[in-house]
Amino acid sequence: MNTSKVLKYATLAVGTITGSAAVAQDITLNVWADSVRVPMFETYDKDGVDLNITTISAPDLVAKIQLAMQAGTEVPDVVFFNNVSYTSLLATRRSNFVLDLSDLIPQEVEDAYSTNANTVCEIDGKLMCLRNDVAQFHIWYNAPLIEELGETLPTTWEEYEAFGARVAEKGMSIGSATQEFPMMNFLASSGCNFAAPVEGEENTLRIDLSTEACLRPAEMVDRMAENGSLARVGLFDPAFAELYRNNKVPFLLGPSWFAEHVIRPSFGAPEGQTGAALPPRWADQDQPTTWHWGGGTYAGWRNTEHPEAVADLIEWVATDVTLQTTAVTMPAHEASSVAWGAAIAADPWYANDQTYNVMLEAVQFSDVNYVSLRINLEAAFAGTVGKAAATGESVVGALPALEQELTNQAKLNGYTVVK
Amino acid sequence: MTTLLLSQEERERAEKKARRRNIGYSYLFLLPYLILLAMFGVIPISYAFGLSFIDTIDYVFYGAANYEFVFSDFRIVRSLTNVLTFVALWVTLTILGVVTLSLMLDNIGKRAAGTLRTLYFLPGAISTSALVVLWIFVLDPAVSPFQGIMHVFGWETLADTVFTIGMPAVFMLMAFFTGAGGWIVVFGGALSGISTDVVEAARVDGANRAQLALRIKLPLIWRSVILMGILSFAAGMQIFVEPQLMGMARGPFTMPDWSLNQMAYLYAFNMGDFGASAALSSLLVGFSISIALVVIFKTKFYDID
Repeated sequence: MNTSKVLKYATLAVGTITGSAAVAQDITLNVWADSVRVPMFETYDKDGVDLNITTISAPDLVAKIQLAMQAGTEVPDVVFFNNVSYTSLLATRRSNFVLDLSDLIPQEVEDAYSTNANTVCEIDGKLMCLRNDVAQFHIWYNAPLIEELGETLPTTWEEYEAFGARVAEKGMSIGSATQEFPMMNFLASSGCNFAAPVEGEENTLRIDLSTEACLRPAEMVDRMAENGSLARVGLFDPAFAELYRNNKVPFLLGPSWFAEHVIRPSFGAPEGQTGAALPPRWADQDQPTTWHWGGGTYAGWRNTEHPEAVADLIEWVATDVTLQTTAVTMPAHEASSVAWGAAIAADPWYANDQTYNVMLEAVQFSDVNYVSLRINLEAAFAGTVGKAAATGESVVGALPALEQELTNQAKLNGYTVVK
Repeated sequence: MTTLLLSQEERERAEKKARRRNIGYSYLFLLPYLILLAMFGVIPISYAFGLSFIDTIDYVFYGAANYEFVFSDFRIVRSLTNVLTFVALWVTLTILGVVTLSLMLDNIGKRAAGTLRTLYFLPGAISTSALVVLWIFVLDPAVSPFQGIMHVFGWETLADTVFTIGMPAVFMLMAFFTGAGGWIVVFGGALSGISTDVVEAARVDGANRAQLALRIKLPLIWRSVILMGILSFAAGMQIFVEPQLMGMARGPFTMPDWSLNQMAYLYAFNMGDFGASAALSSLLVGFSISIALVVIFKTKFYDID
């Protein structure tokens, strides 16, 4: 700390002495990103700014940032977070990494995002990062199979359950009862507060799984796991892939990246099969609410020497339309998203040319409670409701354990918990 | 003539000198080990112990605050139970399994025993991380070579197998097959060191193979058994790779806080609290060392028969 300060002043002093004579020096920003995002940064071309880009594999990212901050050297100025929780995880007293971008990035930039697409970057009213891509849940369906069954896609969860019951008799499945994020989506769709930030109160979460809003979807999952319409294995389990390949999955609720990154490469769906439809709503709701499964963000280092340059780079990489058009997942910045969607609409692999329009419509229903949390939601769901569903036990019965786990985790990580 | 006759006092002084020189040589030979022990054992442990009393964010003395934080973490009791269950199962299985197999191997032909020892040792030559991945496949009824047996029990998914057996028992199996081979080789050495006179004498006196193994050989190698117990206990308390990599099977197998060592890792590299991490690590080391000391001194480990 002290040495770096001394060095900083020394550099400043040298700068003032020689500054008048020398030409403006290029500044260098250290950038850490995963292998997918590195080529994006490589195309950054701005006078006076050099990027020193390092590829960091996703699982090591947080550990490496912690170590760099401890060591005080080679701390990255700009990072790509592959997990939305990292922003809040790295904005605490213990690990104070993230740069507050509120005054560095104009409001117009945020306004240009799709509805609730940047909630993961807002922490207690401050803008702490910019989102790269959205991952909203909606329906991915197998068009020829739906036609063959003579079925129509559900628009409500009640129809969803009924659809499942009908096809389960034919040995078919429409999703997983054990997978954590789809489970969060079931609960969130009904307005269940499993870790909802409280408006206007800093560091406060509402966690209450005893409400009807939580019981209703949990009971539905139990019934559907019982009759087999939701599989007791995860979506990435070889057994589920087998079902999909054998034409036993008429549709499923998946994130926006599910077609390009799972159905196409892993499940091997042929051309003209896969289509998108809006996520279901509950019969008593006006519109659906949809959860997200992932999405990356860009953040800066709070002690960077060049905050303006950092903000400029983050804004560019997250919202540059030309750059984002070729992104591998659906951009969160709406104009970029529309440009990106042209390729999806024109791709004959999809069942029709409406796929992207549906995806764009679905993202408008994004849950405002999908935020960056210092809680490992995935692990909490996996160890309680996920485990219950996998071992043939009741999800409803595991809700108190989930509430306990989430409450404990929230308190441990410094949140105030309210019911 | 008189020079050869030393007084009592002079003789004692000379003896003392010689003894001191011998001890000096012992330390000289121990030196490389002591340097390594200091570099990779004593210094890091002392550093962590010191760090555990410091707030690693502002670098001020923190008293026992880090320890209080660790003890107030709701996951500590759960992880401790997990680890202790695993250690109890694994150390028991290691002692029983390795001793039984070694004594049996000592009873068969030298060449067959050598081949079998090598076979037992092979899994230990593969890194633990690779073995965990292998085990995930072995335990999954959909792809396992033992799927026939699993289907008899009605196990259809990986969750059925793992949660019926229980996580500690699964890790026990993984750790046993990794570590047992090495110990079987060590015990082969210990058993071959037993004097043939003793074995012959016992045989002449009418001891059968079981009596020979349990009454003659086992009491002669008990120190190796204790050593294995202590080392396994210390290693078991630090279990990390197995639960961490189980997460590759995703879903309910994701357990970032199953063991104490994983928690220490989370504190440092997830929360950024190196002080709390040092506190938990110091507790772990302290616990393992105390158990080792108790076992060594209660069993008269270093006494000469």
